[in-house]
Amino acid sequence: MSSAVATAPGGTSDRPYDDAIVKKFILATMLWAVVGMTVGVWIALELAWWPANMGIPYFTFGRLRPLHTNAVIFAFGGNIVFTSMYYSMQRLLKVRMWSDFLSSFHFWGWQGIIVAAAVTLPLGLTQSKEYAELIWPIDLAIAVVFLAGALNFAMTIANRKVKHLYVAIWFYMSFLITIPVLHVFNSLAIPATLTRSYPVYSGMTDALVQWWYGHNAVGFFLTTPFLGMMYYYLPRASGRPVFSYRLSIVHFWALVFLYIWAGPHHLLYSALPDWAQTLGMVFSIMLIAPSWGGMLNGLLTLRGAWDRVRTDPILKFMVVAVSFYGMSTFEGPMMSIRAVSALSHYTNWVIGHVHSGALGWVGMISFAILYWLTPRVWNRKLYSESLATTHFWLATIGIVIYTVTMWGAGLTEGLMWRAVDDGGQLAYPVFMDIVNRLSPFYWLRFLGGLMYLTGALMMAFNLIRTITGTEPHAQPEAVPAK
Amino acid sequence: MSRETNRLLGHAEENDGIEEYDNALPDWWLGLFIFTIIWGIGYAVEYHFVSGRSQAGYYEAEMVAAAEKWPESKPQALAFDDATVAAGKEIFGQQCASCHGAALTGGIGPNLVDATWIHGGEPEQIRATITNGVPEKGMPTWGPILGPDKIAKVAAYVVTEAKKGGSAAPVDGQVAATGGTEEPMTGEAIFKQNCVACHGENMQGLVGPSLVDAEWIHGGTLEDITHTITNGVPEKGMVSWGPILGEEKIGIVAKYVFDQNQAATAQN
Ligand code: HEM
Ligand code: HEM
Repeated sequence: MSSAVATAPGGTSDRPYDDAIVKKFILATMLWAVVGMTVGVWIALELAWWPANMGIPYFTFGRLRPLHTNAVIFAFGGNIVFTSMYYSMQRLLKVRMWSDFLSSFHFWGWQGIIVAAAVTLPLGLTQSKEYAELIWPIDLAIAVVFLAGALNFAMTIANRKVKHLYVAIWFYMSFLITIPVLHVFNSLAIPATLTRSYPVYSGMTDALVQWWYGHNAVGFFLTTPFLGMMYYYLPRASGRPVFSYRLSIVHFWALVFLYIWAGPHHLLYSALPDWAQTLGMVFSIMLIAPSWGGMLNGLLTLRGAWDRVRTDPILKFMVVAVSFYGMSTFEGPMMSIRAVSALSHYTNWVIGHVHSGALGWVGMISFAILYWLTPRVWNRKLYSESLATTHFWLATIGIVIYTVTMWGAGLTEGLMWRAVDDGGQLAYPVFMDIVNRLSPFYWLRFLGGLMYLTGALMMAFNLIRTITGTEPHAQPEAVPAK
Repeated sequence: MSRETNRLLGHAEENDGIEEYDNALPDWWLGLFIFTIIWGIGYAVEYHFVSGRSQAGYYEAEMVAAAEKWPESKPQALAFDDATVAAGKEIFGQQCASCHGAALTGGIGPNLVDATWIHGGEPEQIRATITNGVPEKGMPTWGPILGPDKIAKVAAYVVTEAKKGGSAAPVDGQVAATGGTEEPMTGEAIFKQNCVACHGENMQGLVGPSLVDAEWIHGGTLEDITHTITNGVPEKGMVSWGPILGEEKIGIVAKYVFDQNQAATAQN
């Protein structure tokens, strides 16, 4: 039954599943993964060795950094989420996407927005709100294109041929509903010219709305859709039943309810009232178990498939992804504790945390899905499994180097900033002295990032050779254990 | 995980082949969840209602503790013994020379061994300028960075060098009783001291505009000029001289500028 789904388009004969849209999104994902990570490695080099900006204003750190974050989160992250959704939703709902026009509009609209971002950010056009830098006309386009995509998904759900909604779809829905709300309210602004606008919020309100948005961008863009993806692709790739249905439902509701309140942990020790800071901190602590519910359900689903993890690069990527998810969702709540934040805030520790989630969780699960999906939708044998395994090791070692060096850098600067001498004076009063100490860490991080990027380039090569190959994909589908 | 049934729910048909077990929540997971909720509520109640902690409270407590540990020493009089001056020299080399030059002759910051002081040439004034800085012109506020002890040393060094250069007020090992060198009161002297750096030796304009052409951005009557000098044009970098020079000196220098402009434009 399920093996038929995997190799031949399913659905009804007059309305087969639309895999052409999946193919487009896969290609876009690969392109933006390479672009976004290349810019990441570039700015990592700029921090170690500033002449890498070549003296050209468009390439200075302040302009390339938002280009990196937008490219990896919304271009790479967004495209892999949409890829995964278009493939799995049709199969889980047993029906073709509701509107081919909306699918296509969604695809081209999203790519257009990314190109607009890639032009405006280096030009210095920005609203200077992190992860929401894009100027108001692009913000409008994001709302329209995202809602068009969401409408298509919603109508497909409404027209489904099954009664039961699998848990992956619950996670996808939380993404489709929450992201437009966050985006619209955080971006409210009064346009002055085509490229300039004034936010409707000011001062502390602005900061609070910004981090309500910022934290939930992590929660509902980099977490819930990816958990939905894990719930579909991990059991499919391993052929194992999901460990606990109940756990999946309970941790879903706990996660979406708690995430929304945790934003103030980005504003500890600020002008935000004490009670709101406390709220952000305790809701973050309460997030540990709901987050770990996802990790547990992933790892325990693999019970009985561990022998295959040793040989199958796709499962390897998934195990590391889920483990890093568990790691970063423990680290995050720890950094939400007032006393820890006092040390870690503003330091490279935050950057290490970000990338253990971004490279470890988001990146690795995305790679696994790309390796699993590409041979299936094109019906071509994976060009090289050993190249995929090499990618896995490069990426894993790269992440470890990245996060460990950023912990080192973060602790170094955090401790040096606060150190006082016997006379009560700052022990390192000259800021540049501290910055200079970070240089070796920055170089090592550049190296770790370069390894991760090299792996991604190998993947792009591997998948393009897969697509252009001739041998059909013939791997027998694993049948779920009884 | 005692309550694992590993019973399949039979959703595979509807879930694209994915089966789900009917397993209970792992006990330790549920325990962790409940523990964090109880801890969170407990922490919030303790923080706000039991011990009444607050961010402002912590700040004040820390300041009190610091004041106790490092009591504010009465500002010691400047000492000018060789050891102090030598120590000051070292600090100057590390922190100040990059702007004021190794020989104190100026660079990004002004010359410290010529005859002029923008913020006063008495030892105590020099110490105050170092401590408070002149942030609006780029001179850092060194007080919290160096601390009173190091500032006393570096101030002693600057005063000593300046005295050699003939610019500092007389020092008798202590603060001089009365004002320093006679302050210049001619328009030309005031202009030379304060204005040439931006408007040029001959008022031809450098960073600031020319004052000897026929064009005035902010008006060319004596009144306009006085007004512009007094209030400055901060958004373009022209200093508000009112509080620095005072009314009397501004009157003199404004008249001087006005006269020079009249003379220059009359020639053409
Ligand atoms: C080749 C891999 C990558 C490298 C070398 C890299 C490098 C960097 C660098 C140097 C920064 C700026 C850090 C700073 O300001 O000190 C940064 C920021 C950031 N990167 Fe990456 N990055 C990579 C991949 C990714 C991926 C795949 C994602 C997300 C899916 C990501 C998400 C972010 C985010 C969210 C920030 C902003 C962090 C903050 O503001 O706290 N990066 N990255
Ligand atoms: C329960 C889960 C999590 C909690 C409670 C949490 C908490 C935190 C905290 C306290 C900070 C530091 C804020 C600061 O000091 O400036 C932070 C930063 C960040 N985290 Fe997490 N984190 C969690 C999971 C994740 C995951 C899984 C990812 C990525 C996929 C992620 C991405 C980020 C990003 C991008 C930032 C940087 C925000 C900025 O630009 O300043 N977090 N998080």
